[in-house]
Amino acid sequence: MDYTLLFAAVAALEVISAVLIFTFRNVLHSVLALSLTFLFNSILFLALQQTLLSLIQLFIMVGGVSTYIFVGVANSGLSRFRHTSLLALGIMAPILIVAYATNLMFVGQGTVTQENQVSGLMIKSALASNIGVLYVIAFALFATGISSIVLLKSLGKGR
Amino acid sequence: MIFIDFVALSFALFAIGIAGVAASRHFLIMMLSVEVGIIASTLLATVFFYFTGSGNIITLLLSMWTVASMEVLALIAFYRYLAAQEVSLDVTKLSKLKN
Repeated sequence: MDYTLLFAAVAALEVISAVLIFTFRNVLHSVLALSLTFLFNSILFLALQQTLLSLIQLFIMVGGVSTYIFVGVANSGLSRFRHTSLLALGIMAPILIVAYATNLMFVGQGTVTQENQVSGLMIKSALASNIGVLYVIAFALFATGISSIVLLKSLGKGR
Repeated sequence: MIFIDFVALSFALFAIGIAGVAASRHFLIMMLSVEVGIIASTLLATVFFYFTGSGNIITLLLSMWTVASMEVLALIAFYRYLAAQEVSLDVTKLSKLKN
């Protein structure tokens, strides 16, 4: 399979989102651009058949970027961010598209069949075959972080 | 998808990270740009080991990411210190730390 078109698209999107980090004037939007950069980087790791690295990249995204969001939001004040509710919806839509596409493209890729020393059976390592599910889990965690910010914002409006 | 494409992409990402550190004055944005530089270096290392087919990528990259996350934690602690001292996060005004 020729990955040139995939590489070109992902690389262009990654460069654009990296530039957007310091182009946005809003800290929350910059952090979201950084998360997009992490996402495209993990797809590049998948193209290099490094499934474990791509998963580590995803979970760094979830853990590290959520920390950035909470530090940034807690210090900048919740009420200054507009359109955050739309962002939460806009993040949930690409999740399913990316998960479905990666499942189509990379399922079975890099899957290693190993012989179990006890039973003698040939067992597929399950990491690569479930990659789409893991993308959904990681993004669901990330979207939960965003949604909690939206909830905090709506709670803070009443005061 | 050849070797030089990935190397050029890594260099471009690293340059963007450096440009972000140089161009922005907000402390948090500078930290995010440092992250971009870190992922550019990990991508370059992965590409190098993938195309040369030698070495243990996982061990090297896990150690790199450990160092990177420790650095980010130290930066966040410094950021919290700055915010608690009510110092401006504009890095050109960091000379107030002398007090």
